Amino acid sequence: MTYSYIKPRTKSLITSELKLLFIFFFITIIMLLMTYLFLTYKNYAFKQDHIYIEKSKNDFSDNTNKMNSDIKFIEKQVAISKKIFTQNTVLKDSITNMFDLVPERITLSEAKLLKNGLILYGITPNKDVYNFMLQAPLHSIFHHTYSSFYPAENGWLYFVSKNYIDEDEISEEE
Amino acid sequence: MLDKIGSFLYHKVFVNIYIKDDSLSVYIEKKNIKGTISSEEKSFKTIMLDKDIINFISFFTKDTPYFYISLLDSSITQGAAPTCEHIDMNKFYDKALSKYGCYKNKWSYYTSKHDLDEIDNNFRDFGLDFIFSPFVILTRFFQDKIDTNLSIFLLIQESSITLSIFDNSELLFAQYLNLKSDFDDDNFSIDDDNDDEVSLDDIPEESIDLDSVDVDDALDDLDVFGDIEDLDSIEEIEEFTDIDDDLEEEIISDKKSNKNHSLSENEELFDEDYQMFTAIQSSIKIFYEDERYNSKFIESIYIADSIGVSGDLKSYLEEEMFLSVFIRQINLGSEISELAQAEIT
Repeated sequence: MTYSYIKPRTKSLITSELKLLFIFFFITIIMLLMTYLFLTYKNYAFKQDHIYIEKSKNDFSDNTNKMNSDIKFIEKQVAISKKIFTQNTVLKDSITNMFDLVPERITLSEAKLLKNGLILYGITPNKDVYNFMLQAPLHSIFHHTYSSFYPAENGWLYFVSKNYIDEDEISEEE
Repeated sequence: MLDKIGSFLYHKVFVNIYIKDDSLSVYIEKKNIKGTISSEEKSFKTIMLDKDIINFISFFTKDTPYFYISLLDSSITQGAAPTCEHIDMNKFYDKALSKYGCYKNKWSYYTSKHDLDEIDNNFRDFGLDFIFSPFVILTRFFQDKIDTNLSIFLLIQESSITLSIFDNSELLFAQYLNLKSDFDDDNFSIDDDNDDEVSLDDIPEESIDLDSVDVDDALDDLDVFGDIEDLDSIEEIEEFTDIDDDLEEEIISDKKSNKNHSLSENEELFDEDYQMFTAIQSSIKIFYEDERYNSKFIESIYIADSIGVSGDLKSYLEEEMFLSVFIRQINLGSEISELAQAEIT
């Protein structure tokens, strides 16, 4: 039944005061929700960062360990290289000394440096030259010296001199 | 659902406003689920919404969102037509300029769109929920009589008369008579040659002064009754004219005997009753003469009286128009409130 010229205004249970209150609560809830979502996101981001940092930390730790081991290895290498350099220097001096030992009248054809000895091949005019001028110094250096001769075509003598140092003495030196 | 909860929580307040001459009457009814809690009526000496009216209404409406403000239309261009067919409506009013509604798909009531806009503008601070036509109020008020009678039905307000003629719930004729504007504008002047169809051009011949009333002339105006076989004989009519003379004397004697009222007040009341009578008479004349209306002989008139009309009007109607007059008091505010309540259920 509508006998009115106009339609009635919509009546709402929610008055303007209630509407204001609801709007206030709605805005508050929205703000709380947004804060919750923001904090949740930040928490998630923080956890992700934490995991990433933890992983980075582990990586750095691994890298540090690896680098430490590399440093140790390199230090060892350096020590070895120094030792080798020293040994080479010693060897060089020894060879120099050895060649200094060889008199002018004796000619070496081959020299073999062993860990515990020295084998020399050469030609000498005679045994005496060899014995006095080469074997005597060799004796003072090596513990055991063995020499053998065989004649050359020109009357001289080929010689093979095998000189050894005792194993115990070598290990002590090391 | 919310409305049901709301009706438990809040009272419903019906604010019913109607214009009384140059004042505004506000009838407020407060209801809950069980029924009416309280009602109050107050008149304000203005026809525009002012601070006092707003404060008065706000006092009742501030506690509930469920308040309905109704206004009884008092537009002078309103009316009702005995049709609800869109094609036929233009015979009675300009549809383009009017807002209209149909009553049970039998007849239509209308008012000016311009006046509705004006009302809307006047009440823009408060807003309105319903604007009712007095024809609807009148029809509902006399529903029991309208359904079973061929009769004139009147709603008398201080400055207007809502007139409708029903034949067993079928509207034959309706007119809204604005007494104040009609008389103020001198529409009843003898020299007024521009009277339109609605103007009461025969009235001036009878004059407002009862002394100059020629009953025979009045009867001549009712010549249309002559063709009706059931009409009483002329002799009987003459008896009425005798009564009319007696009535005239009675009025004069009443004037003399009533010492509590000044002479001017009595004259004013007398004029008002006669103005009403002449307006009704000329309106009935239009009903009988206008071919648009299916005129039938009317023997009775039912009056919904909101102002407390004097016995003079009844006498005029009985003695000059030979109508059986039945008067029923109406509380307009209450009726508007009932209609508003019916609208929202």
